[in-house]
Amino acid sequence: MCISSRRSWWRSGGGLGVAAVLAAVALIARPAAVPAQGPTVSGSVVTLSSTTSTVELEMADGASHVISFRDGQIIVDSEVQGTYVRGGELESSWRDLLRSPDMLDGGDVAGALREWQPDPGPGVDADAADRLTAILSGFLRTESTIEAAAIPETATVAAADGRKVEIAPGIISLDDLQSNFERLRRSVEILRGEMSELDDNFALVVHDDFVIPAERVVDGNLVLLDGDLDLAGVVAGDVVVLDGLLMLTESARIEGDLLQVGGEVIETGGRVDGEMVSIVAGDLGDMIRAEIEGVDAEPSPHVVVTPTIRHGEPGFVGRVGRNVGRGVGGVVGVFAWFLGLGTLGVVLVYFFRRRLEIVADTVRVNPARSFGIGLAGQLLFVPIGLVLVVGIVTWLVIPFYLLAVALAIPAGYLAVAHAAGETVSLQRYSWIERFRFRRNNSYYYVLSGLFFLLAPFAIGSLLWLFGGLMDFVRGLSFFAAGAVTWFAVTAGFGAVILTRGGSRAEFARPAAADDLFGPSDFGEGGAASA
Amino acid sequence: MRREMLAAGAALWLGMAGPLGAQEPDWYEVTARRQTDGVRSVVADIRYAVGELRIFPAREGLLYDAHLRYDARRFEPKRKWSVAGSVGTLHLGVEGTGEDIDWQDLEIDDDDLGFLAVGLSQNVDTELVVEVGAALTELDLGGIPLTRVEYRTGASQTDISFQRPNPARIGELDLAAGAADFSAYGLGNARFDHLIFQGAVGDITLDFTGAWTADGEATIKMGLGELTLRVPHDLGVRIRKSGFLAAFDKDGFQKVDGAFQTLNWESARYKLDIELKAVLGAIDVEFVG
Repeated sequence: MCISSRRSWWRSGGGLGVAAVLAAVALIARPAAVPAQGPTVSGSVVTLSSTTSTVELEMADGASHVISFRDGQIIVDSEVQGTYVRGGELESSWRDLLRSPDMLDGGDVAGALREWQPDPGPGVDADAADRLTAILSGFLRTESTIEAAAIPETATVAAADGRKVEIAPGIISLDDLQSNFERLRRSVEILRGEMSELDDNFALVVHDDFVIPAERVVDGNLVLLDGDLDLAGVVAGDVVVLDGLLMLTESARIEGDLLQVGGEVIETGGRVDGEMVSIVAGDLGDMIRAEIEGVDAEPSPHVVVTPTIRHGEPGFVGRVGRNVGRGVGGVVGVFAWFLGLGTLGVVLVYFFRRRLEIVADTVRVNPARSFGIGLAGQLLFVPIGLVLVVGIVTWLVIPFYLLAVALAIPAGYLAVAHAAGETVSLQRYSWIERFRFRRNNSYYYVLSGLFFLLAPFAIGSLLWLFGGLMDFVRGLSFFAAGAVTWFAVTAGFGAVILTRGGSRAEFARPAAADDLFGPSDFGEGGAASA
Repeated sequence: MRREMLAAGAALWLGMAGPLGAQEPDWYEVTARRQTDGVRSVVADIRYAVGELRIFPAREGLLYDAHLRYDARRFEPKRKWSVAGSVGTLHLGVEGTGEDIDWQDLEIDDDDLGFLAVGLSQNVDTELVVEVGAALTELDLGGIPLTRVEYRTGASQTDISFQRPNPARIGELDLAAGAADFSAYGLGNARFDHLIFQGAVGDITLDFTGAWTADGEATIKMGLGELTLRVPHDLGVRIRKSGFLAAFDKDGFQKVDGAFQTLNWESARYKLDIELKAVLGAIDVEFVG
């Protein structure tokens, strides 16, 4: 994946001052003091109620902080820092902490807060716990580390172009420093497309816990590779957070942009003149982390997002669209059936015209008998099948039995269509004459019969266009369509049985008029000869 | 059906933006914020094609607070901030990359669309211009000092609300929706001089409740659909209606000089004068409060 080719959130450009810094890495060699630790809380007030659990901290430097669990929100100095599950592990742990002797009796409050390690398990509480402990860590570390920061502990590296780059804290082995610079170099290379506004000539590189006190001005850009950085002073450039924790305190000021591509940034105040941008998810974050860790990038776990979707009844447009969709969809479906059955009908006419006409004539001449036989056949279908199954030898017939029924039903239905089409055709309806619709051949009979048999389905579908106004009529239409279809299938099935698959014409009356129009097999036997 | 419309709109937009396919998305999340910094007013120009868009009041001290989730394979974020004098201009949005992929295989679901959430300052006067393609849009504009609002959308589902009064006053509140379900609640809190609404097809709800501080005018043009006007009892409302085949519920109104006005029109402290043009559909008026 080429990152720089498709990023436009930032402009492109900028040089690689890191390389210059790397050229001077070998000049490092100065130990520094280890920051002192100790309680920094001079007073505390704990408030517990059924809905709220709050601690007010008075810090040794005169500052004060209020941390409160209230109505599902974690509020630190009036800012909502996260949410928690009410009655969950995190809230329970927090309440236990506030009930502890150190907190209630004013003992080692700082120690109790520092040692508090909630274990809420995965979920919302886990994120909130991480954030809260980071905030507490920042509060408790500030005073002592500011004292330590007064001790000169940064190493200055002479870059190739003569500028000075501070490495903080300075206590670091040459190998570690080289390693850190390599991480920075790789990260900057990867980020070049994303953060091209950034001037990567860094003035200060932080690789571990460090404090920039209020009176301090960093004359240039700052990058945090790792560790906890408390920024109380001024950075006269951009700040890049690759990993670790950046705490912006009240007096902090960043005159450029703040770019976070990893780690965490906590604002308890301070000012950023430029833009605060974070890229903390997606492949970019993985690539940077992988580069920093020196391993191949793992596929990015996609961030789960739950959009707010309104559910409910569709509105006017929704209803109209749904009804139009049903109507059009229904008509299309009917048309598909017409095409399918019509094709089958054409095939039957072409190959088995005589048999089809005998069956059709039987239905037309003896509809009641055909229907009765068909109904009986339907009722006896299962019993006959059971008899065949039970018989020792007859089970061999079962496939043929099933195949015969499966063929007889559509063939019978098409024969009924043929009969219907022929019946309509033989009626000299004036409107048909007007439109010259009359055709007299089996193809026409089958197709026109299918049209009439399927028409009620199409009409019912079209009635969807009228929405609820035509519910009853639509129901009636579908009922009629279903009834007609069942009658056609039953009568056709019966006619097939009566005629032994169109081979016996004794129940069919010859229609002499047919011979006058088009080719017909009647003259060759079958119904005509019968 | 709204979802289908949105998906159809999204597919159309994506098809126009460039062929897209069933490749795995490449999700990015970017946040960009800026603190309030001597800027007296802001023009926020937000253009968002496909996905979920939210606009809301930013937390105190921030000029804007944008959170964007996008598929880098298909979209490219656009952001530009500039300052001229004391006026800042923010351009924000995403554009298609036009990557050459078979878009017919694209399956659009919620997670595929990404989102843009933009917080706007509660302290700086803002002119808001929003153009939305096929998106789920939720604008919570209460508390943002708006002086002008222009909102355009195609096939989207839009919910606009003014849950708190506008600290400023909107000269022209210009809303337009294509094939959309559109609702705007608390328009009394919007404090507009003139509301213009144009809707082509859809269910429209315009709720005029809120804290009125001055009279207002509204021009509403409807194509096909159902328009519901929710007005508070104590607001004087006059409707001049034109159009054909648009049924109008006249309960609570009396006809005076060709216009329909509420019985309290003369005595009401604040008045809303509506010019209504509708082609086909139903117009319902609900009195609330």
